[in-house]
Amino acid sequence: MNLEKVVFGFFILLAATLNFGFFIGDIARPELHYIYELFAAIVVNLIATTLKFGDHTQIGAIHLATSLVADLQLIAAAVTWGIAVHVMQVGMTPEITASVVSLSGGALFANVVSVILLIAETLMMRR
Amino acid sequence: MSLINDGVLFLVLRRMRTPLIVMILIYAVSIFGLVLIPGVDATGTASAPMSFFDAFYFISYTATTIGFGEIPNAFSYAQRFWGTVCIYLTVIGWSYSILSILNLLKEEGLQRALARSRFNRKVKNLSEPFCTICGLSETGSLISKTLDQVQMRFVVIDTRSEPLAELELGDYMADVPALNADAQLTRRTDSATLLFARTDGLGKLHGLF
Repeated sequence: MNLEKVVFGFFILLAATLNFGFFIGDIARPELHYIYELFAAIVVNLIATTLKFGDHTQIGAIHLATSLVADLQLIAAAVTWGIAVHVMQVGMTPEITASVVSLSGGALFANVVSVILLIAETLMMRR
Repeated sequence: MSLINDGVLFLVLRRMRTPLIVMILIYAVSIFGLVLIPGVDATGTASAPMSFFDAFYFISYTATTIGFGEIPNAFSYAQRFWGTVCIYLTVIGWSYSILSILNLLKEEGLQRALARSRFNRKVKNLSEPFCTICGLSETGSLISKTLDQVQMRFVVIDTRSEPLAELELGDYMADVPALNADAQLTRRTDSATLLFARTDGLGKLHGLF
């Protein structure tokens, strides 16, 4: 067992699960989408991205690309939230909530691709 | 991007993993603390904690030592306690990151990767036919002097660094790209006009091919 591999798999899965946890629920109801979970998803996604740095292989490059996409989508979701609450001061209206949650849904897709890559990589390994 | 090749970029990214993760964790812990700790309003009664945006703003200008002060409202004492912790945490995080970068710059592996990319760039920019001299012993330096006299461009590959240092001091008309590497392991793809002169440690010419 390789501790580095455990940490790598842990952060990739945690990024996907936190992202899913924030995404799940009626898209337009702000009380079903906990903002702390979005924060945790962003932090864990950033850590997962950093862990993927510096891999020369093709699969490593795709891994990094999926993580960068997820980061971009989640940060866009957070910026949307910040602008709605602080700049426009409209609060979490159904439209804003739907926009934040759908952005995180896009990130979820990228995270699922990342998990699939992880599984494929594991299955390809021969003992 | 032409200045930095893939090897250097990947090496830097790989070495920066730990400092970057430390910085992300420090930011996350600091921000999370601030959004939990209640604030205080002008009358002294407890008010809601900072929002994520306010906390991120505060940590951003505090971590970079810009220090705008207590924005948006004056802090409660609980917030100031946590703020003190944040200040020291982020300073330690930045110092660690900067020290890691400085250490990386001194590292032999990175220096070699940089030298290789410099060499490759110089060779790529040679617009005229050139020779490659592998091994700059007695014969190699004789050949290089002659080539220089007949105004033929050449590049040098040698496993030892001393002859390459002498090359820099030598009186050559043209700029000579030199690489400290094993010529047998060096990949040169654009070798249409290459003339290989390989010499051993005694300076004996092994062959031209």
